[in-house]
Amino acid sequence: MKRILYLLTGIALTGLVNACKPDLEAPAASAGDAKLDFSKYAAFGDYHTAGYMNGGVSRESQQYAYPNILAQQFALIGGPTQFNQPYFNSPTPSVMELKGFENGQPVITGGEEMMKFIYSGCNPSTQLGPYERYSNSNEETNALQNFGVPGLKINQFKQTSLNAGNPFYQRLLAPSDNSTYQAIAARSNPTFFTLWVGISDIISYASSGGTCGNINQLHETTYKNEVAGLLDSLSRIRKQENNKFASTRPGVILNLPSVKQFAFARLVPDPTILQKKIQQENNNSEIFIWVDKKRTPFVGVRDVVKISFDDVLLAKGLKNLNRRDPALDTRNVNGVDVIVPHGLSELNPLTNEEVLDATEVGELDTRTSKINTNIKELLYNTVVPAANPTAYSKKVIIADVKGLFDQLQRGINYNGTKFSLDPITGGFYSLDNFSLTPRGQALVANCIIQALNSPVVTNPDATGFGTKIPEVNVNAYPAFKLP
Amino acid sequence: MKKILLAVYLASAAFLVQAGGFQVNTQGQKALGMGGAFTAYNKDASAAYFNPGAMAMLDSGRYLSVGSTLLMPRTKFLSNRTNAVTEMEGQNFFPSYLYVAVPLNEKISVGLSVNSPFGLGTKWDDNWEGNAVTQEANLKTFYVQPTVSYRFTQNFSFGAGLVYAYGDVLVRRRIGEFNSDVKLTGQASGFGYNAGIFGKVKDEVFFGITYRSGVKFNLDKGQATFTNVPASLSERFPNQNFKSELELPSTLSVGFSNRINSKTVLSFEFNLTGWSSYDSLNFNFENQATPDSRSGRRYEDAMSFRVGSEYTPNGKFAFRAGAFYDETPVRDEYISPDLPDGGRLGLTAGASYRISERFELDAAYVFEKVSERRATTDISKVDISSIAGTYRTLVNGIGLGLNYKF
Repeated sequence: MKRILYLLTGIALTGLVNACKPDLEAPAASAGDAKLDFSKYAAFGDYHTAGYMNGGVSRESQQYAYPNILAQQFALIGGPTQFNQPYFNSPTPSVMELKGFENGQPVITGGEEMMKFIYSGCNPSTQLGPYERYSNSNEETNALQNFGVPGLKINQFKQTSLNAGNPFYQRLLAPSDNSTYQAIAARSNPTFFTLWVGISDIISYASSGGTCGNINQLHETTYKNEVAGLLDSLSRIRKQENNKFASTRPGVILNLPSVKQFAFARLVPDPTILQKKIQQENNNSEIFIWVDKKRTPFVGVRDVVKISFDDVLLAKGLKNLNRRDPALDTRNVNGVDVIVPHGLSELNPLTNEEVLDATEVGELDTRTSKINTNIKELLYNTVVPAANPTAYSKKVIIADVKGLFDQLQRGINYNGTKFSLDPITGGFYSLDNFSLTPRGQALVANCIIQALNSPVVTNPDATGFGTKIPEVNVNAYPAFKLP
Repeated sequence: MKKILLAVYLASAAFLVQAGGFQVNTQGQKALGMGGAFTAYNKDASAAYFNPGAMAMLDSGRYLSVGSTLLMPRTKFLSNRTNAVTEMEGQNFFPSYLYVAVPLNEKISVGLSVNSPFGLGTKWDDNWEGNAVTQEANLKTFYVQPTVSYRFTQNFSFGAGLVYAYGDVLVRRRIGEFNSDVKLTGQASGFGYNAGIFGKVKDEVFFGITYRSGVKFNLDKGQATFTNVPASLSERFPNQNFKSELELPSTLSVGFSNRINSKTVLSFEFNLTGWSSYDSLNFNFENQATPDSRSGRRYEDAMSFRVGSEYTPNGKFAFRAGAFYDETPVRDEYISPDLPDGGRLGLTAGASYRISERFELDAAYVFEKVSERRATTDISKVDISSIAGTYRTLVNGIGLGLNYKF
């Protein structure tokens, strides 16, 4: 008995000396079985990739671009700590700012430059920029790692006119350089890449109520052909000894969210509820919100109808609703000029560009979901390049950001902080209601890291690289700046 | 007497995380040395707490016991997402006790128990990864229990006490959406009781059953302080009062001990703590515009098993050793950084030295290994705030006590 007592006392004292703190070590980060080479990671894409935020780009917003966040994590598994971004020294003009709230509605200043930019594609006479030049030589351009170009559309990869039309692209090229985006991509010579395109096409079409841009440019076949061309340059398809083709560079391609998952499409969750509110306020159940759904270009058919629950009332429409400007809203009724409140009469309906109507939403949705299907086909079963149907397989994987947007649509709780797709309160979208907040960018970065960390499996749909890259702490990035 | 009470109160001002849930099992150094198996053993005034029934079975002396334990829980967290290891701030706690037992006559004894049977103290760095879940959680309790014990026969006695309980709570976290901070503090009191029976067979075999009731605290005027709130939200998050309630659980203890020879006693005990009373922790704010806070806890009733022995070679010394396993009441899906509890395996050792006829010194040591807990999260459950990862905890404790017989 005595011995046991001494023994127990001895064990306990040993415990005190040796084990005051529990032993818990972080597992080592690793490049996994795929042994990815991150010595030159380069990112290709548009708004989100460039770090566009609050209607513009600034040095600060660029730092929170998901490629830069990713590069910092890649540095943990052998990548360089330096990531070359085309930094702006001063922000682009009229970056948006939230000044406060009036009657529960946000008061936002700035954004004029952004609107001009979004519409510049369908109004070539618009003069924008030039923005401060980044690159003065081809070497500087080639050394870049973030090739995010806000406004870049998928049918522009092979257009030399992109240089003249997009000041964000122009500044990346040396003055004498007139290369296409695809040529620049090939020259950048990355060891690993990410690619997220198609966002610009959705934004200019949707935020203009279907008046700017052509929905057919977002056609799945266009996407497949154009993206395949870019992928060929990026992933360097090579003929193997067995006469088959294979990609020699790994990369990630991101799929597309639905148009209804942009915050600009969620300003008014259901316009018929707003209509009901207006009816109650006026004590008149005969007031309706009217929309002119004529197509652009105007073909002589007016189609003025009452708004329906699945029409998307855009910011412009919301702002102009009930406008009583004598210059704009005077209508001749039975020979008398009267001011008719905008949008609340069949005589003065909301214009086509103030509403993304249900048909347009449906068409866009079909396009993006077909594109998402086609990305899979492109990577795993594609006929391009014809020589080998699985050229990209196991070298280029898909990061399912659409899945992230689906989760956000229902709302998520990340370590105690809530995020959703709602404007301002959601914490995911910045003030312009389509580009992301720093935390939104971090969520996207984590989504890509999750895809990379997925195990390498034979089932193509689930292929990852089996890396062990730590995610970033989303909440450590700046919160939505409220006044 | 008043001074001693005050001293105990001040010492109790800092509490601890220990034992299943936030129950604190260092309520007497003799008991601690024997793994806590003390319901069926009576040696000193701590019977007022461990088994009021045993108080009347003490010998004719008047007893006073005071003591305190230095507890050093240490916790580390490994995040599933970022692989970052965070160490909980190393706080030390001093749960203390005071017990008195005075025989009035052959059959009746009266006593007093003052201690802190529940407590919680977790503190993480203000900017740690889970700061929007919790930055700090602190619960202090202080139980005062006047007790009467009655001996029915030579071998059987019963005792009961009324518990007045005082609780002090503090919760701090970041409001992650806009990086503001909220601090909730409040004090409340409640009542409960403690009753036990004690019996012996031929001075060799002892048994005891104790039931300590739950205590419900209604916090009617808690204070909520919001800092760093953006001006545009100041109307939604003003400093204000809040309401909350917390029911601390009941405990049923059944024990048995056996004097196997003149120098050695073996003691066994089983506890069932009614943790299922702790279903959720809610804070309802006075201001309608402030969103109320609701966190599910859904604790389960938890058992513990204790075994201990005491070896008394002579009249001067006594040596003790014990072990226990204390089940956690926290379900897997509710493991949270404000109490990353797990099943606890404990080893204890203790000794007593009789300084004189009147004074006796007790010492005890406890080592606890909390089983590793893996918290998972489902980000789509918007109303459940937690962080996914692995927790490991070790607890060391050293206690000293003094007994006075008069």
